[in-house]
Amino acid sequence: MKLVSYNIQYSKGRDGRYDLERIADSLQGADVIALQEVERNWPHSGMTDQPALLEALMPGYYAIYGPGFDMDASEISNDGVVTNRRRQFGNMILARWPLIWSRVYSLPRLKTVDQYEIRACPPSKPLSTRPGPRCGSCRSISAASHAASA
Amino acid sequence: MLIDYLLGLHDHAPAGGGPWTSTPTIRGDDFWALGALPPEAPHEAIWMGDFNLEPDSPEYEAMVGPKSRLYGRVQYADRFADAWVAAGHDEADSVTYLADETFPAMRLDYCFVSAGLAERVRSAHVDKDAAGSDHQPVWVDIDL
Repeated sequence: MKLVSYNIQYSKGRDGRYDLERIADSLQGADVIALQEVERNWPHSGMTDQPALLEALMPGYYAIYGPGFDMDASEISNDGVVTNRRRQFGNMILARWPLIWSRVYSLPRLKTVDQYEIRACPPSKPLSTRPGPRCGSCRSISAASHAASA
Repeated sequence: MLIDYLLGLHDHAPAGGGPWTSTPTIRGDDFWALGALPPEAPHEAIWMGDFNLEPDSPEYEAMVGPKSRLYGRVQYADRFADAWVAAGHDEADSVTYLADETFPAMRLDYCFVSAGLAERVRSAHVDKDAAGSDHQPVWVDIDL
């Protein structure tokens, strides 16, 4: 099983360009993907929904997103209608098998820190069994963290 | 320390259970279970991410055990192994953040596997060519 961890810096590349397709291309062939620094509703990334865009770019994967950073970015119209929107920054896990359950933890004491943990159900067969569509949902996986240094 | 917090989560995961626990039939209905058994929170775990720590730090030692001068890292059964090392590499011999105007080259991104999974790690590599971020992807092939 191929695992990959990638801090994508909200898709801002070394050339300064924002490009989520470039991120998706570099994840080709992975079975379980732990991403950090995935965001929603930030001006520098065009107020986009990066988890949704990544899901669209990687349609064969199950995906969950857990923000460690969450702030108001909503708008209210002149006639009083609120458009709810959150400015978020967090972690994402994508896998070829269903992510049976997840839980988001915030690391203590540090502002933009988040710890994202999921644990799928335990293997009902020996772990050395190659994953197939049916036993693929039976595994212990995985946590992504992005931790600012203390 | 953040690593202590993470390890505390790890230690308590099996006892804490999943989103719902116990047997729904005790109450005589199947409202939460939807016909399924409670999902477990297994002890074995894989933690991946940008930990912002380097191999010579006390945080790294808290994850993978102290270093014996003669015998290398002491692997404790209830702690983690660095998959990079389990794959045969030296813990200091890796860069996941290339040097830029602000920071030197560093190893910040890891895949830690609980000790029971360490022997299942086949290989690991850093994708040095990826240019989509200021970090590099860390790949691990594990026999699961």
